[in-house]
Amino acid sequence: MLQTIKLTKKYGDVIAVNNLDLQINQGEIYCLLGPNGAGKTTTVNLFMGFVAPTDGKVLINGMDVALNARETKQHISYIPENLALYPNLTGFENLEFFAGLSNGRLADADLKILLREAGLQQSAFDQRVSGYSKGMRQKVGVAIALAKDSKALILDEPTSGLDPQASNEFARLLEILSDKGVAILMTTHDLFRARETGTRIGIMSDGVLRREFNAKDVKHNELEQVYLEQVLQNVQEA
Amino acid sequence: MSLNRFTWSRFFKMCRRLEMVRRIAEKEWKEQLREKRYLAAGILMGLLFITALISSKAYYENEQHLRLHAQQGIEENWLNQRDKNPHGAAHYGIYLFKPESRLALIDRGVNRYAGTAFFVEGHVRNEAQFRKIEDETGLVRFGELTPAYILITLMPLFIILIGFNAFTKEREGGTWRMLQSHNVSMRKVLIGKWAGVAFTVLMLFIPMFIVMGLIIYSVSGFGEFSLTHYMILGAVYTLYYLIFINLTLIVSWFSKHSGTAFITLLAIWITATLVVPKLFVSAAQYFHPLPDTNTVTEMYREARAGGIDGHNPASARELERKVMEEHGVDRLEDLPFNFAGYRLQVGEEYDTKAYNYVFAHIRSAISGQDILIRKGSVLSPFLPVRNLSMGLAYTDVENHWDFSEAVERYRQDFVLYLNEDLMYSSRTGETYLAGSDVWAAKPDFSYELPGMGEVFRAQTGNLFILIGWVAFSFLALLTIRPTSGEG
Amino acid sequence: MIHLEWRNLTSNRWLQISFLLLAGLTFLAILNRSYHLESYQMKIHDVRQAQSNEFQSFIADHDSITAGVKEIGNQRLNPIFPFSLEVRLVPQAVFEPTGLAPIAVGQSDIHAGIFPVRTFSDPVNKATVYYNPATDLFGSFDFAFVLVFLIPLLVIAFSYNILSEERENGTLQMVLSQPVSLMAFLVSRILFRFLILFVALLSVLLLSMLPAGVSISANIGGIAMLSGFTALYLLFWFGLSLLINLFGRSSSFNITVLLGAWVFFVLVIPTLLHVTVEKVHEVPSRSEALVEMRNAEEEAFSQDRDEILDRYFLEHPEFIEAAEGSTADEQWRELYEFYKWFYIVRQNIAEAVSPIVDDYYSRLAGQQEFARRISALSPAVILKEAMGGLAGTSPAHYNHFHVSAEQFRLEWMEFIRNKMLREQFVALNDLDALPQFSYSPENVNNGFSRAGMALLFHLLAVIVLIVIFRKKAGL
Repeated sequence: MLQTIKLTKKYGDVIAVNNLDLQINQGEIYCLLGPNGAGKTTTVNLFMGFVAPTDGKVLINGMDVALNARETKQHISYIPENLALYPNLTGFENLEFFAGLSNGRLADADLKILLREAGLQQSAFDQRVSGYSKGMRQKVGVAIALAKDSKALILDEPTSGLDPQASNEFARLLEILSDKGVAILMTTHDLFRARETGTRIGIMSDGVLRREFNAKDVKHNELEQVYLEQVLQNVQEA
Repeated sequence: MSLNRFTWSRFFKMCRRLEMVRRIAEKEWKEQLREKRYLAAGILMGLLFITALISSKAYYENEQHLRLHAQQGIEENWLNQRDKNPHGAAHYGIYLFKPESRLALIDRGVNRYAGTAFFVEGHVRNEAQFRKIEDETGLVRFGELTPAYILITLMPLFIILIGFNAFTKEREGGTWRMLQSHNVSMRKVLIGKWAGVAFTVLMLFIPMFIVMGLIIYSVSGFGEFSLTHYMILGAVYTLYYLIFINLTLIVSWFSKHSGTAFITLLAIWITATLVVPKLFVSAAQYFHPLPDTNTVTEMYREARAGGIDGHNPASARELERKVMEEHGVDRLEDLPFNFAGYRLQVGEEYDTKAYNYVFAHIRSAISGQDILIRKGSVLSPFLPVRNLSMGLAYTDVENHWDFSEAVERYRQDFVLYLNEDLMYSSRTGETYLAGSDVWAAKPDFSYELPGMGEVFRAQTGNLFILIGWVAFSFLALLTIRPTSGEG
Repeated sequence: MIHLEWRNLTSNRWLQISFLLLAGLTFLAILNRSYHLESYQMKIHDVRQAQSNEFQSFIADHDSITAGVKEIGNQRLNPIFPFSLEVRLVPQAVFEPTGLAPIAVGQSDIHAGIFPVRTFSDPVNKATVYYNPATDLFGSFDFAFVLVFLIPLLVIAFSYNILSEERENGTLQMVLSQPVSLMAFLVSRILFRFLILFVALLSVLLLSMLPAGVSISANIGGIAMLSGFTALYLLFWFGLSLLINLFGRSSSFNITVLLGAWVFFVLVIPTLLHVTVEKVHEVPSRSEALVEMRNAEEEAFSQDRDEILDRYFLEHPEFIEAAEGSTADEQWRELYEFYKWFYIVRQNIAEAVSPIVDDYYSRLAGQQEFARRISALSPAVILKEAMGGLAGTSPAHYNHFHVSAEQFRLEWMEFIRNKMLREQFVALNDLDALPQFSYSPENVNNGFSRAGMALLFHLLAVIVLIVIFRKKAGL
């Protein structure tokens, strides 16, 4: 569903993403781990078409993002670290607007069901987003993704800054989505969350995908060890 | 039926395409409505507009009353004057007051700066006197609170206020990324935002325009109120707003921060409405200085040097001889008319020629100034709109000169009437005093405003420049490459 | 910190460009006005020259006629006959510009600065000027416009994000962790920026005065006062900027509110004040005065001639006595008799209309006084009026000028009338006693102290609000 082939992105002399090959299938939750500057966010931006690749390809549902920028966006939803919504509109109106952009012709009642499904409290539906917490905004983001009924979801550090309970709730939402067959790519720093939620885990540093494994195959402390090894090894190389 | 279905399906297809634009526009509008600053600004504009309308109406009615009253007083002066030689009456003269056109309620134009009273007398052509501005404090130089001030000067500021962050706020708030993550073309976003701003502006402008129309309609006064004329004025304002909407969105697109966008737009606004007009006025005054009173007097004196002075019999010898020869008489007393009246009329015509020369000189300096100022229209869309607005309201300089020429034509008739009365009511050498019957039968002055066609002919230049600005701003808006991401 | 501030400002290219632009405009404004001033002074010079020529030829004629060398056809214009004075020696009312005239156009584009004073001019009909209403409508470009309208925008651009920027860049925490209070940090920052702008502006102004030929040493008092007003005005806008920043909102919020304040103080309040002045202190219409004057004129001329003379001499027997010592012969006496009546009628007309004229000018002054009082509501209006005062081009100056001209007209008429009624000939030593037109801008009440107080009051109001909001913001 989500695929990169020998993907490379350079900013001047700096190689942000180096020869990356990724393959995320439907129903998978792929957690991309890595320190700051590892190239995680660049990867996400390449998937979203916000930046153009220097070399290689990004494919969504088999379509090249660089060639079919708009069509590919029909299939993916995006939740950035700080999910931005229009502060003067209510949560419901934001959903209505963004759902409308995806050509969705959903009735008000359906939209409300989606908000409820995303876990937003009923009382918050008609409040302006300017008063929302980050967790609440993320829920609207999920509702938008649900409304879009997209086949893939890309999240950039979605749980940073969420308290453990909100983070937990959010993880459960992702599981529901993946049960529906959505391919999910999530970048994170949170090793614990990655192991709990993810089906597959990739560790990236300096633009290179160092290791990949199934979440069920590693225990938490093992993951930490592997992660540190990869990152340290990298530092030593440097 | 099938044709019907065909058109409907096409219509729906188009609607679906427009659907997205409508959604974006609607969202934009909803956001504007909820922003307290915008709401406050809109309400303030409305209140100012109402204040302007009320004070303009009061001013108009007061002026109208004063002028009517003064004109009546002057007529009575004239009719009740003592019996005297008609030439004495020509010196006493009358005053004509320029009426304000009904549309001056919208745009007072130069009315405060142009004289309102024309002294009509023998020998002398006078420039209009009693300029309102002479009796003003310095406050009026900041601007006059009229509907046109709100519609031409302040409305662009409102447009800037609601549109300056159309794109910057999306960028600063991060929603730009959210928009981009959806399958929506940036051109539609642009059109949607354009429509959102335009809708708000029209929602403010249309009620103002209707209320203003009703008030003008209800006011009795000089000049016809034609709906077409009024609608054209409305179209001029609307075109002007389109220019500012386009400029605002362009600047917002290319700015990184809302703050810089706002400052840039305000700089554009102040350049267009204040700096450019003032700079061009200064340049006009520098390159085409107007003669002062003493220079004009000197010019007039030179122009008529060697001519026939109506008061100086010494230089009229030749004229006497010529007239007597023509009529085959030896004595002036034998002429079939009073030679004094004849001589005065000849002198008057000579004076008029001299004045025509002097005034042509003054007017050419003035039109040199006006042409130079009009060139500022290339740098400021405000200028052609202000000129159009004044022109359509009959309050521009052209109308003032038009009236002034009508007065001059009347002056010549007026003096001719009195001189002929002297000529034919008495014989040379007789003492003749004209009475109230002569005063009562003086020619009437009437002035009609130029028709719409004439106004449009005079305004074609401004209209073209305005349309040029609209076209230019739309082209500039199109240069925004809708696929480009961060701009 | 100052070093850092300086670096901050010098690295902002937009600010530099806009400052240079404003400096250029200031230069242009001062040069342009001083060019007009120069050509105006040239005109004054020409008029004075022409007057002195008239005077010389008058004396020469007088000499040759009293010596019996020359004869004149029209006795009314004979230099020994008083009537000839008003025809041959037409005095000119001249509006003397002050040294700082180039800083503000004021009303100088509206009124004639030089005009002949004729005894028969209508007292409310200000001198004929040939004008273009279109140029007057937009107004010409002067330093007052730059300072009152444009400089506040630079101040706002200079300071709208003084606190919000720190917050948005995330450097606020760093500042807060320093051993200096945020308030002290902000105030010193604002004052530093004010100082830079003020010094730069003053230098540009003084520098542009040099080629414009404005003597700085001669106008040092005015320049000092102008600097004071400018400082207060700049501080007001800087203070407002600081105040808005204390609300703790975004830069975008700050700039809209500040520019809203600009629109309010510079555009909205003045127009509302103008409407108020017009409503509360309506100046009597000159057209009504005109009708009354014409009535008075017609009435005075239509009265019986002998009756007028009899009545006048009953009230002024001194003239009968004086005329008895007249050396005029029969022919002259006839002319004197006519002109006695003529000048008495003119005096009667002048007396009949003087209440109207006085009422007009005093109401005009009243309107100006009222306008000045309510102008205290907007610093922009206060400054513009004060600059008009410093430049000597304010409405009050022109009002004083016109009143002086009208007074002089009456004096001039009285001088000729007195000679006429006493049946005296014009002697050469009479010429030294001719009334002289004088207009002195020093006599105009400029209300500078009130303007200064009003500006100070606005500044204090902003400071008080800053103190209040500082507590609320907990700084």
